[in-house]
Amino acid sequence: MSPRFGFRFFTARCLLALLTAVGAALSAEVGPHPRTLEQALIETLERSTDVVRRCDACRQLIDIGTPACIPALVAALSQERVSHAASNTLAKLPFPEVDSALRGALPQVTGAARIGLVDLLGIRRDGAAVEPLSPLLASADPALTEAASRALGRIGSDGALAALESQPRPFVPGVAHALLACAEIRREAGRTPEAARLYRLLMVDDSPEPIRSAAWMGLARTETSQRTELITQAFFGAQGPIRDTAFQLLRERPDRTLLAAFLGRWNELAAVQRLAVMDAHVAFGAEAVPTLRLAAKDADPGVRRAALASMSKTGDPSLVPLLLEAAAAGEMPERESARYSLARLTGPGVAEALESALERTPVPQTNEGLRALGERAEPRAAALLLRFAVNEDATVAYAAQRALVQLNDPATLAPVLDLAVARTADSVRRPLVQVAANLCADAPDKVEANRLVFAALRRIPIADRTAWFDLLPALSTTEASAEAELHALGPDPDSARAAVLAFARWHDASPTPILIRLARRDPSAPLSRLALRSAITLTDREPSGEQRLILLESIAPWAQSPEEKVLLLTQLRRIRTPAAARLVATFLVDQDVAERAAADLTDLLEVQHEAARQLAATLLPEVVKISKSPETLERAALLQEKTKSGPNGGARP
Amino acid sequence: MAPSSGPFSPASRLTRRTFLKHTAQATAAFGLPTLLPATAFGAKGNTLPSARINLAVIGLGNQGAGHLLGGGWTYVPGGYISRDDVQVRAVCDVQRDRLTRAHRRCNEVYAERFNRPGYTDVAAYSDFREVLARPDIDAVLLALPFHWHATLAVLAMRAGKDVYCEKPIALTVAEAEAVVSTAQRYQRVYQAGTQQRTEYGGKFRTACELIRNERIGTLREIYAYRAPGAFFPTQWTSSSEAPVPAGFDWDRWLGPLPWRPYAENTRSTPSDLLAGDVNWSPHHYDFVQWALNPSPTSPVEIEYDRGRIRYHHATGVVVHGADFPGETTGGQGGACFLGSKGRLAVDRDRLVSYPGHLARTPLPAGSERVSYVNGHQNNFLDCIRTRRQPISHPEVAAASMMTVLAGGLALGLKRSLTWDPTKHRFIGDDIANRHLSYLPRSPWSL
Repeated sequence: MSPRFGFRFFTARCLLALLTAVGAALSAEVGPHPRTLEQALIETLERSTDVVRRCDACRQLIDIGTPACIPALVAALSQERVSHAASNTLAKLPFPEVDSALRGALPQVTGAARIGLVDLLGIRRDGAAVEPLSPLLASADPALTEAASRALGRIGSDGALAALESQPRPFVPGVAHALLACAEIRREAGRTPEAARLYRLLMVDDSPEPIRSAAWMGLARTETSQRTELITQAFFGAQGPIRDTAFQLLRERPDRTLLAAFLGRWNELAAVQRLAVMDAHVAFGAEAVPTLRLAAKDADPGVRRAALASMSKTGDPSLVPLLLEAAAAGEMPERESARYSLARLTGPGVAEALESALERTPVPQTNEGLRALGERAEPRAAALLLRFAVNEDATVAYAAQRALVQLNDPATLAPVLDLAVARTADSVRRPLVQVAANLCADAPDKVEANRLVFAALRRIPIADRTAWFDLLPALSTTEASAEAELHALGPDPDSARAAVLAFARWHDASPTPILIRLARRDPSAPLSRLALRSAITLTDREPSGEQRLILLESIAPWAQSPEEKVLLLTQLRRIRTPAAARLVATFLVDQDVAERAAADLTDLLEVQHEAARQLAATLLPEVVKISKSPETLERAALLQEKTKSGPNGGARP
Repeated sequence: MAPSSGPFSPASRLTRRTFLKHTAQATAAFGLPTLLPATAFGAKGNTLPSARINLAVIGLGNQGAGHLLGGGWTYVPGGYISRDDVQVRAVCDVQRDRLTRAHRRCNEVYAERFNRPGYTDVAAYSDFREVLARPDIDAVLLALPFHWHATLAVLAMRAGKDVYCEKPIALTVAEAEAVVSTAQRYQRVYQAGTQQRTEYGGKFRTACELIRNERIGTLREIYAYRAPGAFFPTQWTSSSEAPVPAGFDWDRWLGPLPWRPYAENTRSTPSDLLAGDVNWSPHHYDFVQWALNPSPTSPVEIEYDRGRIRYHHATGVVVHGADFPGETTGGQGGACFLGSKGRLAVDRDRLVSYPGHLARTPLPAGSERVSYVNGHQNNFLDCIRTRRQPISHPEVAAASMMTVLAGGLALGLKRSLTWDPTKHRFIGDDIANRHLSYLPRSPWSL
């Protein structure tokens, strides 16, 4: 039989098998029967010359393979480009027949495939593979010896361990890593003495450092009765990596005996050791306070910083003065740590300690205390904050006002407004109005907030209300809108300008018609220009594209300067409808913004040319006629091509 | 008294420590900058701020080069090369042009900083094993094609290096387990690149604490804005072939993956080896896990529904692998949370709530808090010095990644599954469990 005929014959058989499988699938409507499919895949694996298909057959056998496919997979192990795929499948098949077949294949496989097979035996943890694997530890090929070590370490049986231990000393890294794995297997199985013996074996001086420190940790975890001695030795020993490991263990398993020993030698410890001891001590809560106080004065800034941050975990109110002092002075990282603890320290008496400290501390510390009260969000702090919000010292007042904003308590709105009404000096009143505006913006009950604000405003002469305008957009209510409109149309230009600016910050687009009316009133007046720009900006807050377009259409005739037109086009570009595109097209003849309009129109037509083919066909020639930008022209030309080439002409492949 | 032999006896051979001592003497003699690794100081000399960490950067694509030299997306202006507490000692990549560029730039930066024209102490390697063999390197930064992250992290930790590893930290459950067990066995500091826990002005931390403290009431649903993903080949290898560019070690780039010819469009792990999204989803689900703080022992039902994934937790919370309709906040690494009292969404740009005051009012003292860390790189470097556990430590990173991978396998297998987060296996589905690992190509088995 010629190879060509053989290939044809094979192809025909494969096709037949696959067609059978497909037929079965169609008749069952749930896919081919797994056994039928498996047989087809085995045939592909055995007969196809196409590496991609054979690898793919291996891949599919992961899900449906039975012992029947094992011979074909094992046979594929010696084939360079299929070996890995076959190994991967064999690694996953849960049948004992796989192991014996793999052992049988080991002598026949060479090169990279052999290393893969050795790994595979290890991954399958085949105890019977120890015998054929052990001699490979003496191979001249370092990659093969390393794979054999890896495999024996994974298997971890007594036989595997004996083979690894019989290797010459010092152990090469691969063997040492494998012995660590064996020790871990024994530790997890509760075979403590054996695990400890292995860890000690690996802690000898000629082991690589990562192995020694891993072995040290393994030993400390295994022989718990020796842990104290081991950590003490490591802390004061000279070996960096093991000492580092000891820090981690101390944190992982805090121990009072050890802590007492180390605290007694605090001054002999290096900074990193002091930090580890402190961390371990914090696990015991408030009893760590003396250590934290000591550490807060440490020569090392890292230790100081950590100590201040850890104070949050103690619940000890006596730390409040120390934290206030640290928050108010020194380097910023330490201040931040102290602030962190001030905001989070909880426990009986902490809030009281903080509040009483405010009455007696220097200004910088008072300010830090006020800041903490805001961050702690304790409603009981409100009265105190309100009192400090009108403090004679401007920095104290500012800190209290910020804290009130942070506290964000709706119950503070009425007293803040009262304080503002009672103050005549603008420098004092404005910050209070700002606080009230913040509270209004977040008020869960807008009706009540509105009532309170207008009750306060009624106590202010109309002419003096400009300073209160920040409250109006914060409310964004109908009543607020009427108040702003009253001033916008009023005789005082400063007040009118402030009212227009208030509209520009409205939460929704509802004042846009008012602003448009203002803009039309006296088109050349600066206030009208401001109103127009505000109106354009405000349309952005209209969620409906259709409504936004109606607003912009009514604004468009009144846009005069290039800046106003660009602002308008920016809004129009966001409305991806044919109507918006038509409005943009009207600017193609406007010399001020023709190029910008051409680019924006191209953008709009790009995103909707399938839906608005006719419009694109009409407007794109205009773009090409007007634009001088190579980029716009290129995009427009491309779009014209797509438009001409039919309904799917522009679809991506 | 220390024993005369055993692990605490003075060593006379050339160890990492003696090597470093000699290096230190040499550098001191020539007035060179301090190149001692952070871990090399004796007890008396070991002060936190003075220890300069010797770093190698492996993988010099956009992400790696960004970490190294700075760039638009990076968190530290100027990258690691500009930090005073880091000495970049080596750079490594399998693509010669990238390697040459980064190598030259690093030496130029140091030449200028140390006023040493012709500075050449930053070494370039195309084989990472040479980097790992250097005893003077404390830590490696891994920013590689996805399929290399776990393997290289494990090899680096075995070599005694601390590791910063970009996401995804693993492509299979077995890889994630290997990262955790290796970090535990060798006690290395490992920080995953899930930096939303520490960056972006603390928005994610704030959101996490608000959710945990039921600011939006009882949590009911979470929208994770991304589908999960996993290693799940739909094709084991490929026949499309293009000439391998000069200076590109293609076989090393592939590493543990099935062999395939070089293809022109190969930029990262080939998409036909993956189901779903393993690129962005680790960020999204890491944050979701952080906020949700799920029971580590309760099984999770993973529902497959016409190409969509939903996670059903024992508490009744449902996590959707999709956007919340109409909510744009959440797209950049974030999520949207629905509770009985309101809704909260967060991403890298915004933290919003409905009603608004839910997100703006601070939590009272005594609320449940999570780790407060600002700056992912600072946290990593601090932990190298202090041996504290970084915020994105292996256990937490692996738990998040396994959530992604379990969902990704449901997506690949197109069926619903039940995930056991304790045993790291699917319950009652042996076939699905066959996809929890793949055999790395020789010689990259761990």
